[in-house]
Amino acid sequence: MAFFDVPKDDDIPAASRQLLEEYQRLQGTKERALNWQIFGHVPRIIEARFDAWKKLNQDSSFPVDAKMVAVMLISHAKRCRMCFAGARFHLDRLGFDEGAMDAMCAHPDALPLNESGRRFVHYVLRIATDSANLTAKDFQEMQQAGFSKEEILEMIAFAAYWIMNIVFSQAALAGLADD
Amino acid sequence: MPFFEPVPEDKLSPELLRLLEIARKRTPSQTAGPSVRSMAAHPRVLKGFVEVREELNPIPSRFGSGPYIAGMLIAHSVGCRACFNLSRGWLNKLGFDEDTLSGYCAAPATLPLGERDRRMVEFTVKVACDRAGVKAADFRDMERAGFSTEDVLEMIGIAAFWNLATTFGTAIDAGLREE
Repeated sequence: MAFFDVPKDDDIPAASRQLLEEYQRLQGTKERALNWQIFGHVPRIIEARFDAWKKLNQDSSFPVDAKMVAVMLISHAKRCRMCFAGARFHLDRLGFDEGAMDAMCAHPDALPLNESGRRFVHYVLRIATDSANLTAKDFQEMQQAGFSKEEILEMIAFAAYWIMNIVFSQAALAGLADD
Repeated sequence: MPFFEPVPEDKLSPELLRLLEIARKRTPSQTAGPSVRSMAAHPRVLKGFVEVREELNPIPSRFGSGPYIAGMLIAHSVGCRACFNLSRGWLNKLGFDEDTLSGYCAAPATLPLGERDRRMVEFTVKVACDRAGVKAADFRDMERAGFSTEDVLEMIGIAAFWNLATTFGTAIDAGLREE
């Protein structure tokens, strides 16, 4: 039996339920994400996650294909099955087949994206997996690659958001697994 | 010259000043630090960070000083100076002396805390730093120790928040250092 029971919609306050519905609509999925629904027990967390998802991820100005490739590679590096599957679901809808996605995981330095998209993924992955070893020189390099300071802050925010989301997803997955 | 620079207050809109005021109250020194003031160069990022912190790591906390002990240990393990100093500053203010806190960092597996506080901190640090190692049995252990489902979800939120904060903290701190 799983530790977490998934609250029914009727047991979730209307404002939080609307956020879950809005999240589902924007994701274009038929089913509610269980790793979000279980937080119906603490509606404040749903609001926090939705606000962060919008501001640090969804409203980010970078192209959606590059963002989804970055999420897939961060999830792959951090071994988050749920986020990995979610990113591949979106990439599939964008026209990437399984072979192309597997190749990106195996060769993240040879991504089938435009130059700007490749650089975005490269730096976001670096921030997400090795932020403690970043130096000012890395940021100068990002700027020389064509990113403004605002865009670099946005890349940091994007990476930070996904590192946070992976914690939610992996913990939810463990608590939803049978003992 | 550092890559990132704190935005001067006279360049900030009333909304950004409001957010910095919220951030200021979250610091033991009651001053908004350079990291958060640098984020002000991208208003949506600052808003996302400040709001998610209020929602996932509220003050006062139902866990007392636990979230800051966990924050200090998480920041220590990933090398985030900004989050480490902030957590430690709060703990100093709450009456923890430097030797005690250094002892916690040196031996996080044997924290000399009360049973409930120790379990809260250990579980939160595990969710934050050893995500893939969290199993269904860990949740049952917490339940047997008297924690509710809501308590556990709150701890996941705190762990997730510190992962977000340390990614922001380490990255922006690197850009604030002199080249």
